[in-house]
This record gives sequence, structure tokens and C-alpha cells, in this order.
Amino acid sequence: MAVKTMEVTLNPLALSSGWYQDTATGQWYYCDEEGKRYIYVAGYLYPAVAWEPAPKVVNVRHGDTLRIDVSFKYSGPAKTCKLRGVIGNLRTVWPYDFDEVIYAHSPSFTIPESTDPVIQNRSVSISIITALAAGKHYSIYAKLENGIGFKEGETGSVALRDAVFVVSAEPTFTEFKITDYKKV
Amino acid sequence: MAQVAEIFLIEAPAEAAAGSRVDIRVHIKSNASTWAGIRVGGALEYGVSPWPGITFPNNWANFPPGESYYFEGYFTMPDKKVTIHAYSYYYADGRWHFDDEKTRDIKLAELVPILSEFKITDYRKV
Repeated sequence: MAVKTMEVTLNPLALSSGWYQDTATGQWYYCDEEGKRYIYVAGYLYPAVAWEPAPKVVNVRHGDTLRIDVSFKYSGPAKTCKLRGVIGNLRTVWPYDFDEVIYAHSPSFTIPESTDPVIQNRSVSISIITALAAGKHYSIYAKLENGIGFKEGETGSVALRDAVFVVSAEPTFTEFKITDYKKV
Repeated sequence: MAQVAEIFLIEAPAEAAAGSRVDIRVHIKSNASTWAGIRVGGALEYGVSPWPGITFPNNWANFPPGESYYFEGYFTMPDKKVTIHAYSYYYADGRWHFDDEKTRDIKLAELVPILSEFKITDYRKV
């Protein structure tokens, strides 16, 4: 087994396939041929969240609320769960996973029983608090909880990188310039 | 013992989920020495009365002597175990005569939760 040790110079979004070990903690990780990363625990590989560039940037201020809408398909028995919405960062050290800063849960909801996959649409609202620093970009992701483990694309989303920008609450003047001058 | 239309097999899944469509095939062999008109029918036993029927879009055929044929039918799986009763009839003297019956049980399958295609569709300040 070819083992690659953690290297901080690695591009966190473009790892070559193989096993990796965090030499500080001893934790094992695996990166497959498609670049998907997994955490190794007790003989099992658990998928780590995948990253995509955010399709847009939403400007928020402290005190605002960010709503995240999700959709997914479900078939099976009636299931009660919650949606967890998270704002955070791409961790800048191995394993480059999602470093949660703030999160919120939706109220519990019950997905009705269905024998065929049915599209479900749900939302979770997150209050923007001062734990998020003004003047910084943050990423978001969402997943289902309550007895449903995380599996990207099935029970949780990819992480959307730099989806939110926290605008400073201080008065901000920019682009000040003289636009004209004339005798009056 | 069937005189003419012998049911020798009911093809059906061992189990099915409540509310799902169950497709079956009833195989019948003609024991007649000449061409025979043979019809199929079916009912579901699971605790309701009268027993609901099974739909057979084509429920009869003319069989050559000694030949076998199957009829396709379907029904919606109830929320409990069901016993299929398949019946055969042959045509003689201007009417259909009941001839044979076979049964087969279908267990109720437990639904397994399956999630897929989870994605963030939008996010915005509210």
C-alpha cells in the first residue's frame, strides 16, 4: 500500500489518489481516483464533504438570516429528521474538510412513506452572528440529521465555497472621486 | 385435478412493497385432446371481503392440444401479506367451466430508506 503523508503544500482540491495519514493525529484518509476523500474509522471509509465553487455570493450583515433551500429524492418508510445548515470555511490544513463556524437546524419534519423516489424540498434558516467575521467570505453546506449519516449527494450537499460574504456593519465609503467641476 | 386447464405455475415475486405494482404470470397447460378455449382469473386473499380481483388484460386464449401458455396479470400490493388465488376455466357447452386453482403467497417487503440527489437549490438573505 502506497502511503502518502500529509503535506501542507498539497493543493487541497486536487489530491492524487491513495492513502494519506495525518502524522500529528495518526488519522487515516483515502482519496479515490475521482478525487473524493474519505475518512477511515474502524474499518470503514466515510465520505468527506466535496467542494464546488459557489454559483453566487450572497452579502449578509450580522443580524441577517440566511436561508438555504435543498432538494432530495426519498423513497422508503416515513422518516422524521431535521435539516442542518452550516456556514464555515474550507479547513486550511489536512484533511481540508469543512470547518464549521455556525450552524442551525430546521424544525423536525416527517418525510412521508413512499415506494417510489419522490422529490422533497426543505429549508433551513441560519442567523448571521458575530462568530462570522465581517469582511470575510464563508462557505455553506447542508445535510439531513437524526439517524441519517452523511453521504455527499445522498444525505448532504457538496460544500459551496465562498457562497456568503459578511459585510461590515460599520459605515463604508468606497470609490469616492470628483466626477466634475465647473463655474456656476 | 384439472380436467382441461391445468395451472402448473404462478410466477410472482416473493415479496413486494405496499402500494407497488405486482406483475404475475399464470402458466396453464391444456390437457385437452382438441383445441380448447381457456380462461384465467384471480383474486387476492388478505383479510378483506370480497376478495379483490387481479387484472388480466388478456384473460383467455384458444390452446392447441397439449400446449402451454401464460397469462400476464397485475395488482397493487396491499399493506399486508397476500395470497394469490389463480383460477382456470375451459369453454364447453356455451359457457365457462371452473377447472383448477393454485395459490401463491407474497410477503410484504419492508421499505428501505433511500436518499439521493441531495443538493442546495438556492440560498439567500431573508
